Amino acid sequence: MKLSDVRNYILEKGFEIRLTSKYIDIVNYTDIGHFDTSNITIYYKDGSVLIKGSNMTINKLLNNEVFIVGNINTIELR
Amino acid sequence: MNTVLINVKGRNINNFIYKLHNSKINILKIKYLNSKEIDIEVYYKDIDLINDIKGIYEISIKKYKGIKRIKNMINYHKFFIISIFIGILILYILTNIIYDVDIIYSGSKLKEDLTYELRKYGITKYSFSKDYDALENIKNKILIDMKDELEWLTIEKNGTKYIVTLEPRKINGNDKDDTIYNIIAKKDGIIKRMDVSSGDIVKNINDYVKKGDVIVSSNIMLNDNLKTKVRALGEIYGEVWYKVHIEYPLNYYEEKETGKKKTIYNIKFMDRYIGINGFKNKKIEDISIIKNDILPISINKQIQREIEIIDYKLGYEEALLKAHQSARKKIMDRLDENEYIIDEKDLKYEPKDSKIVLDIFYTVYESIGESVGDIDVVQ
Repeated sequence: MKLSDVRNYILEKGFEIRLTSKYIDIVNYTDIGHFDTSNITIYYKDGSVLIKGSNMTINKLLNNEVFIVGNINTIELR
Repeated sequence: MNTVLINVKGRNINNFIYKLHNSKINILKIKYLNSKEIDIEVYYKDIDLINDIKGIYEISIKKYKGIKRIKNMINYHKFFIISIFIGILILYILTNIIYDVDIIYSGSKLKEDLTYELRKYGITKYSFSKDYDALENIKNKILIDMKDELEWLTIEKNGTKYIVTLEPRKINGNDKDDTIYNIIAKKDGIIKRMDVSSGDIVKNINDYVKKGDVIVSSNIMLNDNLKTKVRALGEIYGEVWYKVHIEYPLNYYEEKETGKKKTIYNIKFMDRYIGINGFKNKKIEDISIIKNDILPISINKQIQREIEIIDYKLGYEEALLKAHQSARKKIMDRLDENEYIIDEKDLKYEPKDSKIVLDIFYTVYESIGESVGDIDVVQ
């Protein structure tokens, strides 16, 4: 493991999506474009993520982390 | 970290979330109550900023979390908490103040002196009560200070009162004894030894004497006339007899102190103790440090003395042996170092229910002389 990888592992600098069928946890995003119960757009350094589903709500919104719960259907990386 | 739960109401509630996000306010938890109302959890430090940017949205604080919540609770209930604290303090003070010092003794001079000594060591009315060790210490100091006046002294705390009991020292002011004595027999027996230094010997060795017989007389006779009177001095030993009746149980139970002692502190609620148990078998002495007169609860200093429990059943032979030992001890306890048992014989032995009944006859060598004063005075 490179030193930069170790640093990244400890400090969690890189953009990351943790996904289950009921929630999405996104860390190190740059901005939130749009959100409603069926669509949420999250921007990150190299692009954006479009999450589609139903009854989606943001459960936690920190400066570097967003936690979304609901029925998630698709995730598009753009 | 202190956090706060806020209720937000307003149209297009997501805009409010955007606002917070754009202001770099961390939202730790969002709960949608309906399309126009949410509960959010944010850091307490961000409250002022949220108030600044809230715009048309109605916000209300629902609950504080963390230390801030505890502070708020204390602040909200401060009068109640202060009242409880003051109540406990007053209770503690009232139950630890001594309202009376009762010296159980009728002599006024000694009582006065003792009151002064007690006052010197802080044993007075309306003073704080002292613990067991302090009272023992004071007692010992007073006994040293008043060694010529006091034989013993106890200071006990009974509720909010000290009870002082004492025994005055009796000093014989006049040691000079001018009384003339005869030596008489204090019990029936046969004289076995006579060490007489003064007086007229009336009885001889191997003479049988009855109680009250004069053995050494103070009257010095010459030709049947009383020449003079002297104080009869001497020791008379003789053979005397005892019959000891003893009943010894076959089931033996004894609680014997081992000499080990422990001091522990515990809470007593009704008749139960909460805290360290200490010895398994013990005798306990409780000294209440804090006691509530209304509730059956107290904080105690407990002095524990370890005891050894001896519990067994004896056979007849063993019980017989123990009965002999016990009877012999009974006799020996009343003898001094020059006195001893000459012989012993069983008169009657009878097992009865759960005990044995034994009559023993003892022949004992002991002092039988007793000085009895005459009315005359030595010239």
